[in-house]
Amino acid sequence: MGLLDSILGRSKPAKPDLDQLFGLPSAAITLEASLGFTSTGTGSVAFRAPEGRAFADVQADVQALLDAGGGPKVDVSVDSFGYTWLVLRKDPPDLPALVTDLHAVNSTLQDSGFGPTLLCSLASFTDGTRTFGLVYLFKRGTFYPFAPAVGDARTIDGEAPQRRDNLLEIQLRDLLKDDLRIEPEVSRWFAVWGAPGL
Amino acid sequence: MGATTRYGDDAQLSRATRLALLRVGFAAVLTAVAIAMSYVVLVGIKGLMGLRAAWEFGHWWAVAGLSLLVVVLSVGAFLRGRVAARRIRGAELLPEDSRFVAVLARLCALADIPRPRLALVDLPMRNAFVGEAPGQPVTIYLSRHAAYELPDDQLEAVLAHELFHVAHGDTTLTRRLERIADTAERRAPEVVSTYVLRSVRSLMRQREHAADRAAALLTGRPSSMVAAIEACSSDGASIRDADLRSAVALGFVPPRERGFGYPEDTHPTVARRTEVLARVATTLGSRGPDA
Repeated sequence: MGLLDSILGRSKPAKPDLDQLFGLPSAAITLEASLGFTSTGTGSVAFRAPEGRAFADVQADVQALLDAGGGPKVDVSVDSFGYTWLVLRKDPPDLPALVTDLHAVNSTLQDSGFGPTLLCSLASFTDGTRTFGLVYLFKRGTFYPFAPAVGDARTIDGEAPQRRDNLLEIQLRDLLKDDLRIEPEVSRWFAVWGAPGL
Repeated sequence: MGATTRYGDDAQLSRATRLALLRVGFAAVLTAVAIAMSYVVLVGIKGLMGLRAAWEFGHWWAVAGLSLLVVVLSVGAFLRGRVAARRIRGAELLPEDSRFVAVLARLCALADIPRPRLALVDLPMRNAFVGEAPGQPVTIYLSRHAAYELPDDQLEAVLAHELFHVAHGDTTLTRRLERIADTAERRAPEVVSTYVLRSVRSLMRQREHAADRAAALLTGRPSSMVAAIEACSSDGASIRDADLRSAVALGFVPPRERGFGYPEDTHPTVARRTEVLARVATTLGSRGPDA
């Protein structure tokens, strides 16, 4: 960004990159072969719903698009940070079909001019005990793993402490680096505690 | 420039910014002329004649070289700006798992901006500002009053506003602008320095509008931004801390020592900020943010 651009506040909006999503199915094969993780059949899209009528129309469009294709069940929820999550489920788990649906939702939002509002997409995997999500950052076109630690530890209030299983996350990063573009800056691996669909 | 601007264009705002930029350019030239004239008085006619004698004597290249050196050095000094390490007293850097950091991290992911550090400070008001010490990463300072008294959506609006100050490079710009104003105040006649200060401040007010606008478009909640500005402007406290005053130039709201609406103010009035945000709300209501 040049000095003049920055003075006039003319930085370009961050455009989402959807193509990398299609790397997920091959990553899933690697995951199952090496660590025994399989897709839970659940994926979600998080975006920032702006105020105003225009966005309400788009949300109806997304729903209509998925219904028309005999598509998956979509749950809409708003998290505590104010982001809207669309949760898609495939039962039995079918990752390639799930990825296609995720892509459809995202491109509808993008084509309607709401690309800048897309935060991330998430596909979850499990090996029976541990569950983790592969988070796709639209603006970077990169993935990172988010693995909540499992354990019986409780805080004094009886709540489960929010701890990430960093060992598993790093393991996954190294395992998947040939299949997916992994976000190199760990500071951008923000936690998605209690993300719908995880 | 319509199609290339961030989230569309606000013609009125762009025009005002270009005008402010022209004024600052003119003010800088005016300062330079005023200072040059004061040198002529200082050095006196004799000095000038000596220079001319040297020139005629055949050492014109020495004179030219010396002048060039002076120009290069002063431009360099100006562009570096004054890097005064400001120690922010009682700042507490927030850990990665803090909720405030999580809010900021999501905003950064949404806008694709590297995440600055986030720290809490004690200010007698609800406010936030950007600090940049040499050799240290950029840090957003959030006052404890703002952190614990504002509802989540307003807190997010405050953080997004500061994030765009960082993204737009306003820390460096403000430092340079204040340097021009400082130089004028010390070296130029009062008429000139008053004009320079007002020009510089009018550009800084435009930067506030730009940050408000970009932040409201990013969060999609211009109403939360307006509410946050009102909440931070209404608690009536003022800051008398000289160390902090220059840092708060990039604050979410200005420290109040008097009313609003003076030509020397660093921030626009609440009413003007609301006007700009109302136009954002109209944009969001009728089309997408990148339309």
